[in-house]
Amino acid sequence: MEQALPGNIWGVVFGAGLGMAAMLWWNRRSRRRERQAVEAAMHKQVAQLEQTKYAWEQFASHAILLIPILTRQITFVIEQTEQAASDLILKIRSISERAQKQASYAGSSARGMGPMQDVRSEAEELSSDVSRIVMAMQFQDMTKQKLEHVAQPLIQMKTYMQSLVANPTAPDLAKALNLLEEVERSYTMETERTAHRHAMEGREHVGIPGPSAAEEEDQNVTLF
Amino acid sequence: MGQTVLVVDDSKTMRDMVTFTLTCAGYQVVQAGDGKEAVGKLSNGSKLALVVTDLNMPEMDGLELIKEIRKMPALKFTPILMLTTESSDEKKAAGKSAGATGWIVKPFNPDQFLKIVKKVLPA
Repeated sequence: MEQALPGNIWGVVFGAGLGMAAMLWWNRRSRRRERQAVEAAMHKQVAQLEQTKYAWEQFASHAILLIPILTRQITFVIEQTEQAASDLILKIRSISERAQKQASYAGSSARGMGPMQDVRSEAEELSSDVSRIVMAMQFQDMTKQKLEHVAQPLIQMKTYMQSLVANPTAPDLAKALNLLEEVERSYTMETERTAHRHAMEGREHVGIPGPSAAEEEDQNVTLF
Repeated sequence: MGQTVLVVDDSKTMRDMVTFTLTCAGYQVVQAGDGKEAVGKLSNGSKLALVVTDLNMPEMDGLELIKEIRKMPALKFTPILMLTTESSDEKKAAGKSAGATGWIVKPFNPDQFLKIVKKVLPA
């Protein structure tokens, strides 16, 4: 009995050793697999980040080039319409002067009788039309202002993107962008504010009704 | 010779429209592209019957211009009309406290505009 014991003990020790070795091997294998899985996930994340970064860089670099082109186009439209308005004013001035001459000539020579009376009423009608044209032509200025209010935030966006591409971790960059509030502050016309509100609310564009002519007359003038 | 009106607006179209309306009615017009240019054209002895100014302009805006004009003894009581696209009550109140005489929202009707001009001009 006493002699059989050592053999058994060696067997047990060998078995335990083998078990431990197997456990160690298993643990090491599991850890390696976990590490490999973590590394693979990290590689995937890095690749995704690289892809995202590349996409944003592509977008920013295109936007930085595109924005000055768009603003230049806007400026060009403003300049062209301004030139057209200037030319029209010269023509209207000439028409108006001729109408006034005709009216005074008709007034002095016919004293309101016959064909001269017709000339005078024609001239008066022409003068009234000129007034309406002057009023309508002011929409060039209003369009100009609205386009400027569109161009200005585009320029700000370009500056912001340039800073972002140059140094995305700059501490002041995150709080520098305040475009929505600045755009809202730049508005001077009620129609701009309404269009902004409608867009923010996701409403479909249906046009903004203006006040009636009578309402406009009342609202447009305030004497202090 | 008609009375002289100073027209201040950064939009050439608007300056030309207002000038056209006023000259047709017999007024003389001096133009400026912004508040700074307008102040440069004014001296203390300037004989101006009326100032018509825009609100939003580069260099010096309409409100600053009014404050500068009101500092000039010769122009302390000269009527000043704001002609602007801005229609908010807040801005109108700022115009009033700066010393504006009236506020006209663009686009202006030439006949109505001339009526207002005649109303604010001293008889």
